[in-house]
Amino acid sequence: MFTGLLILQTVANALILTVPPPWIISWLELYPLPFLFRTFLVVLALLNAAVLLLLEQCISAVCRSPQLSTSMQVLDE
Amino acid sequence: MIQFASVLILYSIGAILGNWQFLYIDLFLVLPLAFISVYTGPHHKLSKRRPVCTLLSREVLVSLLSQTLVNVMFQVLAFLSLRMQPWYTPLVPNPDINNIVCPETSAVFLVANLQYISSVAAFSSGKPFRQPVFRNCTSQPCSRSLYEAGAEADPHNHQTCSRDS
Repeated sequence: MFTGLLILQTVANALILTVPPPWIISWLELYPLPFLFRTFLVVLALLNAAVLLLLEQCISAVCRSPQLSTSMQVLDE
Repeated sequence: MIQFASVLILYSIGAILGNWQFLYIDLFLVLPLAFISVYTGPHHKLSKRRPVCTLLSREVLVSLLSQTLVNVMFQVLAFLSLRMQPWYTPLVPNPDINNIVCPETSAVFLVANLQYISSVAAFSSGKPFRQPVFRNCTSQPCSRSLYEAGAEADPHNHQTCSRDS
């Protein structure tokens, strides 16, 4: 129920921003950027996402937490 | 930290994010992602490694600081690239009003919106303790639609809508 509500809210949000009614545009007080520059910003943000994902993978590979004791390894096996 | 960086960048030129933009970020972006990201289940195999037991560990701090640095760099990059556009006219801040409706605010707001979603995806690393983020069937459509919303939020329509109305 709660999950469905969240998904519904998100989809509604996406629709509102994709086909924005005038009151939403004036509500968020956005400036009309040119289409090409807005596309560039989206590409920049996607590049940012890729860098973040790679960085997080590198950090978790380098800064590994220590293994548990031998007794736990035996239990695991 | 993303919001902090956005506000600092905008303060440097005398602009600011609007109250409704803050509300949009908190209520429609961060809150659903925060709730839904915890739905990722545990990994099916118990790891021999111990999870991080303190927030001040090296792994957490390095991750947080480096991600903040990357996010700030990309926001500054968006800000500087805006200033290199031929159609750009520098903002002359009016001290009597909040300078919200300007290209700088819209550019930083758009990039930051997508950064919130990217950060959630980056911090939801799966192995060895949790399942991969794409196994979270709840967050997948949510993140995708939020990303599309951020990408498709077309300030260009502002003119059209204003003209129509």
